[in-house]
Amino acid sequence: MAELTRISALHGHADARRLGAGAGAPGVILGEIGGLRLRQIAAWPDCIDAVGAMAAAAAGVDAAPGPGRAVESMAADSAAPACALLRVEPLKWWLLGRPAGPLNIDAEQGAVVDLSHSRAHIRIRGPRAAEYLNRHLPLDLREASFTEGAVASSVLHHVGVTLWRSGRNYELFIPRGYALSVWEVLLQTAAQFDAEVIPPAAEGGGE
Amino acid sequence: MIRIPCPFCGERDHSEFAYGKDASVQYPPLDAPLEDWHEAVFLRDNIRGVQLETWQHLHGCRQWLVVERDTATHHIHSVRAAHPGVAAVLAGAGNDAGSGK
Amino acid sequence: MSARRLPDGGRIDRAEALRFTWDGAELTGHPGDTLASALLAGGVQLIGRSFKYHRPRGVMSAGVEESGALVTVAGAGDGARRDPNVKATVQELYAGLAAAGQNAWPNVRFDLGAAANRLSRFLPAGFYYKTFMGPRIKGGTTVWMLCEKFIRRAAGMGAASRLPDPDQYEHAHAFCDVLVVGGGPAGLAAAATAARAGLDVLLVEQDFQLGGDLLNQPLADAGELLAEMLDDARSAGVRAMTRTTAFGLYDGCVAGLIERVTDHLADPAPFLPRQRFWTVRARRIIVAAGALERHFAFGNNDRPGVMGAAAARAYLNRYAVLPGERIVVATNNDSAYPVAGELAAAGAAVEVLDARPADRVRQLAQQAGARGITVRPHCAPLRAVGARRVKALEVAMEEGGRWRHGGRQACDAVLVSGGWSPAIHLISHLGGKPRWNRRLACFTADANGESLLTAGAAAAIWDTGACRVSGQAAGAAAARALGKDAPGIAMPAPGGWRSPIRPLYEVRVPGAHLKSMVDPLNDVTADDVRLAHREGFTSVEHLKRYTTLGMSADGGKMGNVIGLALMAEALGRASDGDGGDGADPDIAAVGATTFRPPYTPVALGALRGRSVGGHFRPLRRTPMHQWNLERGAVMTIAGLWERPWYYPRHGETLDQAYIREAATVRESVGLCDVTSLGKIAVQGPDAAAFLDRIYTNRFAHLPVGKARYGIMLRDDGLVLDDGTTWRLSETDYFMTTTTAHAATVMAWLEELLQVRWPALRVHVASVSDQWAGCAVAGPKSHRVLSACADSPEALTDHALPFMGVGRMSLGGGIPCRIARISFSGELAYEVYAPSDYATAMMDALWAAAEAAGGCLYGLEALGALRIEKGHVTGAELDGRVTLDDAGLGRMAAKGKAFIGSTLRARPELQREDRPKLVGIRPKDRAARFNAGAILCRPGQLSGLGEGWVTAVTHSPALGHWIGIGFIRGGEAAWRGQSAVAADPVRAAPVEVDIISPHMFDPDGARMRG
Repeated sequence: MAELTRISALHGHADARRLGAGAGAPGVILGEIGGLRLRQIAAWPDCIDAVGAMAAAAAGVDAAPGPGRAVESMAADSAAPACALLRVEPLKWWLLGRPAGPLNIDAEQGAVVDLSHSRAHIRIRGPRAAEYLNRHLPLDLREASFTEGAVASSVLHHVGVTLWRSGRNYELFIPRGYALSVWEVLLQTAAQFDAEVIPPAAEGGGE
Repeated sequence: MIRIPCPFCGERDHSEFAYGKDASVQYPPLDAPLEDWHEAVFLRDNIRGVQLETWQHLHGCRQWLVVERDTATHHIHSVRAAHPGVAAVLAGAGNDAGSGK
Repeated sequence: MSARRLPDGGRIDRAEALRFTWDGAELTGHPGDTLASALLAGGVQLIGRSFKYHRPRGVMSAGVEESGALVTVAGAGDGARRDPNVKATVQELYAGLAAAGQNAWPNVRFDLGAAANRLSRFLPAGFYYKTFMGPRIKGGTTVWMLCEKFIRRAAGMGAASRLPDPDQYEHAHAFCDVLVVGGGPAGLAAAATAARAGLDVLLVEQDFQLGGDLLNQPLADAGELLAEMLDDARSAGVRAMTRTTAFGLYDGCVAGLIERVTDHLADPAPFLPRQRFWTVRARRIIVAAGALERHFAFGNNDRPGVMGAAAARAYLNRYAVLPGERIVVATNNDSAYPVAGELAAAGAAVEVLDARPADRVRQLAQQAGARGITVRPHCAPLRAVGARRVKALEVAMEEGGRWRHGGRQACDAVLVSGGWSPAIHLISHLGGKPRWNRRLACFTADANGESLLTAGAAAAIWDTGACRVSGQAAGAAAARALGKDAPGIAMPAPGGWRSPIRPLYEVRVPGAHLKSMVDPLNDVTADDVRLAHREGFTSVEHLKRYTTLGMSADGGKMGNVIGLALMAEALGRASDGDGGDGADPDIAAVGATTFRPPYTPVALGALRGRSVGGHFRPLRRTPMHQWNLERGAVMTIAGLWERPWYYPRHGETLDQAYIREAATVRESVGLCDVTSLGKIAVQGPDAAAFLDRIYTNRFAHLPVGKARYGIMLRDDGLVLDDGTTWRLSETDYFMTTTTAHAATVMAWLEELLQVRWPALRVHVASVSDQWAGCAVAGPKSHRVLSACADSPEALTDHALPFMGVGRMSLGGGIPCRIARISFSGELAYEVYAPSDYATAMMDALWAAAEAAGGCLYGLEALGALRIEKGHVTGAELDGRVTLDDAGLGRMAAKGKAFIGSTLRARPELQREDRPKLVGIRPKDRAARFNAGAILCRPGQLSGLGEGWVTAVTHSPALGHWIGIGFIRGGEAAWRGQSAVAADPVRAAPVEVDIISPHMFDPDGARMRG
């Protein structure tokens, strides 16, 4: 059976374009990343270390990240990250991407739920990305405060969102139903940053 | 604007949080007599000074917190996770909680 | 003579000319000008008409405290971009700026409304209230009702455009270690010192240039110092924002800023916001906002040509505008002497009236004399003479502690310095109490010393050098408090004049009728303050509200202290003067009103930011949104969701469409997008026990593969929400909630698990966005599903009985969840697919449903179907309803305790005469009635009625209109009696029967199949 085609939240709304004056290098580059793979892993408080270790093994990283942090593993055959583990709540991680190993968490240890279709994923980068995000997000994104690998949930246009700084990208996860509304507001502000919207990419695409 | 230091996320605007209840109230067992439930649900002190409140970090880590707040000055004296198991996990997580570093 | 531009000097760029228009006439200015400086340079002195009396007004200041030069700035185009009440003194000049006078007809020079000035003794403080309370003339009409229209038209400020605001605004967030408010010598020094200590410093300045008072000092004296300080701040890494006002400080070391992004641009890019509303979170805030110069109350002290002395210094040195040729400077303190000397040096004839005695001003007088300036001690201005601008000044002289007429002095400008008021507004926002400093005749406010510090003139430090040192001291103190190394610098003492100020607030002589403005913007006079006192409005709060003192667009920056002094004087609360100065009103005993944000006016558009129009609030769309639109759906907004309302065919109306859709569901099959239902994953070993506690009915023994309808109560015993919960495995449940309460239920479950029952091992996760849902309802629903299921045997009665739950693959591999549950009362299923496969699922289902003669149905038909069945939704479960009220008492399990089980037994909730859910049917079956109607007893169509109608529909199954609602005692109490649905605003009363809410297929035979 052929793999089903996934229709992302911003399908038809996130086509490539230049915004603002449109001359010179863009200050902000943004686009939708489709094909999200996301599993939420929760632990009972007394199993946090054991579940963390299993999550780390599945993600292919040495240890599960602490509060507000994420770690990435590299795919064996390329330089692109294969998998990431984000600590999003005290007892919860998000496992992003294709796991390196199996994830068998017993109900006595915790719970796993698939959220792959629950979020729109927008990738934002460029020299003015942090300044741009601060038009909307009340997070301290100064270089020393929100370092590479930082994760935070906050509110954007009244919607709860999660932001992860991965390398030079900011990865923004928006609840799917709100995604178009938030995207439209993001685009309104983007023009003053001479933004470039890049074509929708599948997971792992782009930079 | 009140800024609440969330033990998981760090200090955030109060607009990310939702106020819950008076945290000093002990809710009785579900089958407790009507008088006990009446007192727990309807009778409240109106304190000028430090009181215990529950807040949920709704647009953050979704944790319910116990916040010690001065109603006259908005000064927040302490914040901890309401769930003792979560509080223990965060205590074990070390000092990098919420720093983003 | 009037003001004129000097041939050289100033901080303007003479190389470039900016053309602009004033009341249609073309003028020119230069970059670096304000509108006020350019108007003065162009010889325009009469700029406004006052709020109430239409008195002529000119430029009175050079800053945000302006009370005279309020203008309307109109943008190009259709007039939508029209900004009234702009202070010309802070409006930066740009090419093409079009400004006009306001509150005048036909224009500010010939204003017919100026007759009000002659009637002014009939329009004193409290005039409105007295008119309002006045006698009735005939038939109950009051004077107010007759005159209101004319009064409102005559009084006023500029008119706002009635068109939608064409500009965009936005919000922004910033963080810093230290926020410095004010870019003068104190602020620049504070910022540089803190930044050099290693802190991240943000400095904000409302002006378009940094420098504060250094900009107003002669370039030759202050230019080098300013350049050095700017360079120092820049190289230290200070982030500086100009054209940015810190309008309010808030708890948590938070400041609100307004950045004016395009208000100074001739042709801004269309994508730029006009203004940006910043929320800044700092760890320390240093207020170095400077001080505002006061005037005195004297006759016609608002006449064009009367101006603050420091303002004149700004016009002279910064803008190279000489405000007059024959100038009288009136002062009670030292600060006016430098400007007097500079004006004389620029060629004006200058005379100084100093209210202080000769021995206190001797040294100053000698220095001034050397520059050809006469200083007259014991003198003050009594009345400005001149109809539209100052032509002369009547002088008052003091003899034996009393003022008397002291002759008349021809002049074309009167410059006044009545002392200085530190800008303590921001400190006051955080609760810092204003305290009257008698020695310096001003209010100061103690910063809280912890997160808030002050420096410079905002701390009543008058000397430029001392201001700079105070800034360094504050910057170093902030750095040390934040754990950085910084030297300890002593904070200079307040003050800094050689000869003390003489407190003086009003000048008058016996017998003279003077129009002496206290608060010129609101036309509040000295006599108004005394009238308020005579009529008993003596508290400062009453004084403010009765006279409107301090309530205008300048927030009392000009007049408040004078008003307080006059009230203190009227109350006889004069403290002992310090020798020879006469009475010093005891302002401390009168107190001050509290300053509240904003410091200067903030456009409403800036507050709303981008939350406007379609983005007033975020909208939620289902993954089938586009699919629905492509099939002709008309959408409606329900809560935050955009949902299909109905799917009209061939030009059908709403009623035609939903009646067809509902009938089709009963006869064959329909598909409905139900994605908006809340969905929660409930997982863990204790999930069953948890559900048993939160639902009123039993869940502990729900078998795997079955769903159950459940109701949750609140602690107080009233209904919170309802929905179905599916048991997917021993430890894994899928809960659905109503659309409206999805977020509330989620937070409530989290509260119970985290706060009340931490021992339960249950995790909840919102999966509302993960799953897209479609209801397949109607007698042919099974056939439709079988047609597109990859394994139809999973749908047999045995495999999927009523209330059965399963997984199924649809349309060639779409992994779905399915339950055989019904909201419509028909044989029906709910099918859920992962959201990215939603359109694929709909394509598969619709292909089969369309072939079976089915339809798509929207929210309106969904409502019709559920009303026929008497199923409750948010319209009924409004937070006031018990299980028994809703006819669901059987849902409360006996012999188990659950949330709300104790308090639902409260006697008040058990009364038989509570409003209970009923069905409603018109006696005349052809009649129609409305949701929202009040149910009354016939003949008693008044008062609160006996009940209300929550929802109505035309019932295709029954062939007439029906409704559901609540009525006292319920169906049993109304058997044999009719009621009336009263809806007096919209429709005639309709006589109705009260019946069971289960109006269609009451036994549920159809849905069990």
